[in-house]
Amino acid sequence: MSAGLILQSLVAGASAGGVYALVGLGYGLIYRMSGVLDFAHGDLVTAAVFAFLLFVGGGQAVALTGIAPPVLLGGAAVALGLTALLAVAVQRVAVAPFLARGSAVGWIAATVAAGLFLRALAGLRFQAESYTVPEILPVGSIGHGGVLALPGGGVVEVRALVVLAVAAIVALAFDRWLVASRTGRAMRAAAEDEEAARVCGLSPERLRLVAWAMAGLLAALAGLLVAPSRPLTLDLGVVLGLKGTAAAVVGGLGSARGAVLGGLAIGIGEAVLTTLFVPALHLGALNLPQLGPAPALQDVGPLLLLVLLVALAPRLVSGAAEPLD
Amino acid sequence: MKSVGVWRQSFSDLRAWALADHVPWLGAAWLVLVVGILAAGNPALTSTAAQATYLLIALYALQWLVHDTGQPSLGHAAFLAVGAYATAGLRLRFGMDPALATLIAVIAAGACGWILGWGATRLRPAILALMTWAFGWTVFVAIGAFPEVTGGVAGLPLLGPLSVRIDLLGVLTRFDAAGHLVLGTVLLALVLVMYRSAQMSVIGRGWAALRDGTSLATSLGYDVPSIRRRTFALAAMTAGLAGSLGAQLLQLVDPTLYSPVRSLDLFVAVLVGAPLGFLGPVAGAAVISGLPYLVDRGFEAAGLPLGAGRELTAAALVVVALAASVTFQRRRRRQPGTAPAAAPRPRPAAPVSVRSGSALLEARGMELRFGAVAALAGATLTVRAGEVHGLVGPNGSGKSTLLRCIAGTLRQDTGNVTLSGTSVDHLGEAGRVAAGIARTFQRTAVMPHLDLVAHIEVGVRERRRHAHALQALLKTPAYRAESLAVRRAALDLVEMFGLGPFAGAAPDTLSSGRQRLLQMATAVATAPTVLLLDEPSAGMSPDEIELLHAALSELAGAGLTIVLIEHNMRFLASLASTVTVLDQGAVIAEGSPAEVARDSRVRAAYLGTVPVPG
Repeated sequence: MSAGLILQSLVAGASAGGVYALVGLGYGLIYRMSGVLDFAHGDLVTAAVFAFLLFVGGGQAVALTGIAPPVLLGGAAVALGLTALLAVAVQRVAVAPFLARGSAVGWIAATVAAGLFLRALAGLRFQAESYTVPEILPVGSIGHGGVLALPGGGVVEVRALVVLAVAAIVALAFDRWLVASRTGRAMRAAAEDEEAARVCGLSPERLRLVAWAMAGLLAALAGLLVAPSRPLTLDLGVVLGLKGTAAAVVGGLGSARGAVLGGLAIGIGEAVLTTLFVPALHLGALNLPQLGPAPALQDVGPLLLLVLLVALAPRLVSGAAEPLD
Repeated sequence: MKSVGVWRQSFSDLRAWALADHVPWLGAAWLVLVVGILAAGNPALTSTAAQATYLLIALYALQWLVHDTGQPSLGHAAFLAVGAYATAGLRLRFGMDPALATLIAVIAAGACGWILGWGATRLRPAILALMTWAFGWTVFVAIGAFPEVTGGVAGLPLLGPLSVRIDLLGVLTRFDAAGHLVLGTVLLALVLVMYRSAQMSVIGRGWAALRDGTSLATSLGYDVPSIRRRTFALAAMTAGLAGSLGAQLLQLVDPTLYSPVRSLDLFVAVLVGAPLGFLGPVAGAAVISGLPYLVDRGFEAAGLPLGAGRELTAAALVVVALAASVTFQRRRRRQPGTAPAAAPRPRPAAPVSVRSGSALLEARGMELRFGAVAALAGATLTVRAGEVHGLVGPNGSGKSTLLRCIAGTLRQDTGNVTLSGTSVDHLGEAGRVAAGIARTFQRTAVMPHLDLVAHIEVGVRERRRHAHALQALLKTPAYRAESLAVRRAALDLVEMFGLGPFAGAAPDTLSSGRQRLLQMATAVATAPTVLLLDEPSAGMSPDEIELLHAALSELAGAGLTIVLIEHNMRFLASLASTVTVLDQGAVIAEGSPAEVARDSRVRAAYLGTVPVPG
């Protein structure tokens, strides 16, 4: 396997991993703030992308080029804002009432339902099998039609580099915000000990809403970054959401830096799996039956990893186990 | 408004009736219905009925998992998928005998459940739900990702109907829709009989303990990890069987039947049916089958996409289910005073007394570090048989840690624990309960879904010898006699701990002091030789402390050995014959309460030393 191909899959993997990290950051933040797993998180990603399409194309098939940049950026802003609001709505409607009653089954079922509801709403307006999403940033004009040559013979899409850069900047900013800002500190305090935070004059309820809104923003950003690269279906978000969950879980659910590392690990892992490992299997003397197109493993792999991690190594997930007596 | 009241009343009546033991009548009604459908000979109707029986089989297994053992499975359709696809794969690729293929598929589904249950041992319900939800999506995504194996969206055809060949008898049975209906009915009856009888047996008590918190269950001697693995595997196998047979009935493995939305439907069916108890899955099945059908027709008429309709329906169903469970979930609280009459107390229920005076429990050289903190630094505790032994010390001195190590909840780094001269270090928490070491927690923990007597009976489980599923089902004389004895013992304990006036109440409606009394009574019910109590009087009112004092005195008088962490020195001094004082993980004094109170090191540990000015 050539060094160029390895570098190529590493860059592509890190780029995908950056997106998972964004989803995982929000997911982990919600978990840390209130011990809630947001089963609707992936559908927030979906909602963001369809909100963007709705703004840009009014629900019709969207041309890939020729849309004025201000419209694209406006659409992105609307999608981000709307998703933050949707996330807050999920918290208020599907989580808070059940959290107050101490009914875990309640908020589990309600967040799943909220996710389905969002998907169904999008599905009512967007009835085709899949949609294409225009690039928001002008990445196609750089290099040879948006592709750069890598040293060693590989190639990389400019958009992968841009996505990686945006994800890295946002993740770093998020981390700084959580560590250094007033709100970030208050949030970490409230996550640590709600009662003590209340005594200090903080409002855990308000901070929780901020956390949900922030998670919604991150989810929307992840969706907008990834959507132009592939046909958009209603299932995009769920799978992305679960991969983000996997990233958060690999990084020890609730830790921001852990989620970023987890996202990168999963992104690179699946890229290596699909571009290097699976073809090697097919080419080798093993003569395995055709396992289907390599990209298929890209989705199944991380999901399976999530299931097995939680099933076989629950200690990795902080707070997953019941408290010791 | 009046009609709502009437509806509600009739619902309550129906519910009360279903919760009472009318199951045989319902079974008979179902049989009549099946015979009627068979006699009508309408293939479509027969096929639908057969599908319904398979759905019910899967739902009862899920109800058991969710309600009886408290493990929310949000990916149950995936187990059905494993059963269906494994059957189809084995039959199509290897031309395997249908019955054998079905069997292997069931085992494959069970294996998936076993692996998921492996991690479920100490997981909070929410994480468990996440794991099963992710499993459901993994299977669904895999179905789409490997069309060569799974047939993709088109699904897989099955070659020929399910057939069973019994070579010895020279019989070959092919199953048409009617055959499936009969098979499904027989299997459903089997599943229900097993479910019901297990529910009434000691096994069911184990579920109840598991549902309300694994720590408490473990402290009462239940091997929680193995119960969880087994329940998950069994529920998955049942679902796999339903999936396999359902696919063979349809002659098609249809991927839409195994989507995560379908998983949610199944979960919702169980939630919706919850207020109806044993009848729940029937009602749930009707709702999740009927409503989508109506919505489909509506969406078809309006020219809207059916997929969105299914999702909207599923979401709406969740709302209905949650509303139903919020309205009806809280069981009616029985009023205090409706307690069953306590049996006359022939003798204290206190268990075996061991020859007093000799060392019964010893923990030697116990060391345990948490990172840089030495929680235990060589503490040694010797408890003689029949004594009440106090354990005191300032906060953070390692008292609770020592008790947890003795009970097996924590493992010491070095040191060893012996009971009657035999090491118990190799035993887990549950094993030590069986060996005779019972413990209560520092926090208050009760099982809210059982009344007081049933709560205490959970503790007796390990002593029961005649309450296996079959005996429970047949209500054998030995089972009845033992049940009566257990009930008497539990009532005795209710009286001993002064809980008589509350015997019919739900445990979580009691004051926290009374909850702690209940917790202790349940621990005593495990018939320990040593009872470890972690601050039993914390948060108790004066009259509750009196009750506690009386109960402990009675137990001690009957020869039970008790180790007691206590801050209330007057309370301790009136009970304990020996007191051990811990500070910073080591023993600094030991002796009678009076001796210990005079010890200067003890005073220093509690009050601090005054630095000499200079």
